[in-house]
Amino acid sequence: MPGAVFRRGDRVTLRTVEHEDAEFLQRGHNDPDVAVPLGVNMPENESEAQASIEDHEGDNLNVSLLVCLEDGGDPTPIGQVYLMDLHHTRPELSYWLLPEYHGNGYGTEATEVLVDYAFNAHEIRGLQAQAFAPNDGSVGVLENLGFEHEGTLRDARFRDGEYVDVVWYGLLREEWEDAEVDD
Amino acid sequence: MPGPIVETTEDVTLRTVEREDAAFIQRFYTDPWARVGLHATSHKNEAEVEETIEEEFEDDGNAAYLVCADGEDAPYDHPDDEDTTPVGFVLAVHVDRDRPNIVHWVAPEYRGEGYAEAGLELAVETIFRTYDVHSLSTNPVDGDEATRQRYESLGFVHEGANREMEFVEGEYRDVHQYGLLRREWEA
Repeated sequence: MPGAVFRRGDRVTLRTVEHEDAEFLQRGHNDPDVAVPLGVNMPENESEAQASIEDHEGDNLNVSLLVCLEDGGDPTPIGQVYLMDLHHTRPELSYWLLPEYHGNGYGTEATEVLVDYAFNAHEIRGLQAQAFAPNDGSVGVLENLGFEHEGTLRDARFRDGEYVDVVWYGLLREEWEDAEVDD
Repeated sequence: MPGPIVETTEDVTLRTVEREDAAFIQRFYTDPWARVGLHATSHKNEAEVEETIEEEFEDDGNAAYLVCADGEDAPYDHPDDEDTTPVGFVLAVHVDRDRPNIVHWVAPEYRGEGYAEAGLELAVETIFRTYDVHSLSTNPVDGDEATRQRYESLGFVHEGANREMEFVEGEYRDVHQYGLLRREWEA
């Protein structure tokens, strides 16, 4: 069961990751529709999922939150968002949703809540994100949020039987502020 | 003092980095442009550099080479002080993965003598011959034109620039993304 609400969007909440969420995270990390686009190429058992949750406790440079749907009862976890390397000039974000929740705009909404938190709470210059091409869903989320395409690294990662390009995206603080005004 | 020879040409020699080379490597971390290549925002003292050699340079997933100017009779084995002069180093991070990242540095007093070009070229050749990597990448900071040109002259292709990615010399700087595929290197 996910923990307390940390940030709230219109339809999704970002909640803290609790020990008992290992089973949920394990399910996501092993599902090929989630893991392959993320670049995860090893199986993860429940005790490894548990250990990775515990490793993040007390870690001030990385933030991990569960994306949840709320219907008044217990929250339903549907995915995860991360911020990595908060001590860098431009920390990196990433996210995944279970396949059955794709296509509803939840990814864009959860990521927007995370981006707002990152710029509001941390004195960072910008954010960055990478995706393997082709990953239209992931790139769509970034473009919806105003991220600029900054480069395409050719044949940079091996996944799903072949070398694929890695696309890099970046969002600077003033671009995020401009987008906020537009909202 | 550097260790035995890993690779050598007429112009330059690559030797193993030993822990006693920490004082030399430390000078890399006082170069504000160069250390950014290893995400080091601060300088390091000698003890910190020894630890970095132990944890990073000696990691099986990374490959470190001391670029040396050998004397005529320098031995393949452990050299004495008078046999060789360390002039720089090359470090490739994650040679066990799809695309290692490469950083190189030459001490200021040895610049302009071709050591950076020769050392980098020999290191790239050695990495492609030793590890089954598909490509190499490097990330010079905007404004460090000499470094960019050196990679371009070896055939590295400009693949993008992350805007204002690092804080160097009082301002945010773009960081360039370069890649070199094995088939491009071999062609």
